[in-house]
Amino acid sequence: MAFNPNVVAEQNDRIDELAHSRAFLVVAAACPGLAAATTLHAGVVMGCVLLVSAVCAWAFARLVPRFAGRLAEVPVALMLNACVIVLVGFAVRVADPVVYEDLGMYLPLAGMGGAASLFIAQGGVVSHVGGRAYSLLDAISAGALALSSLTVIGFLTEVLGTGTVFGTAIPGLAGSPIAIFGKPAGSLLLLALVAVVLQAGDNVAKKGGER
Amino acid sequence: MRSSNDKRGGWIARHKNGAWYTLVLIVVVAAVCGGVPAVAHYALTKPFKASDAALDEAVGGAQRALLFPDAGSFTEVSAPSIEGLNSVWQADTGDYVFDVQSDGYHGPVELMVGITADGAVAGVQVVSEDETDGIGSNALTDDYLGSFAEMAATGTLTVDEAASGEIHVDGVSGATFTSKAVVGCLNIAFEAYAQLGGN
Repeated sequence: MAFNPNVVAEQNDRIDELAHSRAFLVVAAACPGLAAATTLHAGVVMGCVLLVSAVCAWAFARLVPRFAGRLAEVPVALMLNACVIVLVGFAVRVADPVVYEDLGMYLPLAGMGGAASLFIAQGGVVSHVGGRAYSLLDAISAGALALSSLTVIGFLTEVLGTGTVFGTAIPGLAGSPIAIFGKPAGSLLLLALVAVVLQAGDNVAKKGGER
Repeated sequence: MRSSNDKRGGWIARHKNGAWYTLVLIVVVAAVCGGVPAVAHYALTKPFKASDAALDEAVGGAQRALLFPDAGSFTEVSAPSIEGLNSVWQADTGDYVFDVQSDGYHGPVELMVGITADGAVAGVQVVSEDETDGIGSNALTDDYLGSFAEMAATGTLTVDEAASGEIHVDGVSGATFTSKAVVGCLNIAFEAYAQLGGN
């Protein structure tokens, strides 16, 4: 069966638009850290690592093509990003050993999530002239949104899991049905709610632009 | 007239897609990206040790608080020289927490044994173990460890037939090595408690 090339092209454009929407990027960046964002503290730390990785990935994407050829661009950029994530992990280990131990493998995963979302946004590991434009402000805002998402998810997971809010016990909270949002599956639901809010905001902005 | 900067940028632009340039660049970047974390890891040896100590203290503090929730603070005291005794902490209430280890089936089983000032076992917490899940780990359950609560912290416990001066306790069927490790830890804690002036 032969697909109509116009239909295929339109579908590709819609998928491309979806994959580069703010909601998709924030979900892609925050997803690896969902299962480990079990406290406010853990969510904040993972979000910060994600933000730093995304900004460094943005910087490397622009620096690497200046001195690396087409064959070397991707491995050089990936090695530089991996080096940054390792160094950030060292910093977290020194600054907060408890959360470093708690997060384990999820810390570098969060960093890679940040870098990978940047790769998706700019359409590649490195950025070329004429490619998809993605400014530093875009990278920082996407990272900051993912940081906020992980912080909120960590806070709600901690509150619903322990039944306390900043040390004050709330009777019946931990045993109530909404405590599902404190489980890993519930964290995914919370991230979906964040994506809905972001997508709604993008739709409003798009309609305003069309007028 | 072209500046030296233009000549350098021009040279890179002309050669960066070449095979040799690509090979050398990847090797150099790999060396840098491997070397920088290695040097950083070496340079941060002392901070890492300090953070590991802080982590041990945080984890240990949490487990000590589980054994004696009413205690306000714990102070590490000088531990008697007993094989298997890692550390001794005393709560402000006079109770003791002994960090002990004994060989299980797959290596050392490290436990935290709480003994009250009255000379009774307050509880047992698992610090680390590598026993077989579903077999040896059956001797590290809350039920089995909880069976030692309120036991007098005196004498020598054994899961085998008790000889003179020994007290027989039940082990867990199929988890003999681990049961013996738990009992061994308790015996070390009892001996340390006795040397510190208890019972």
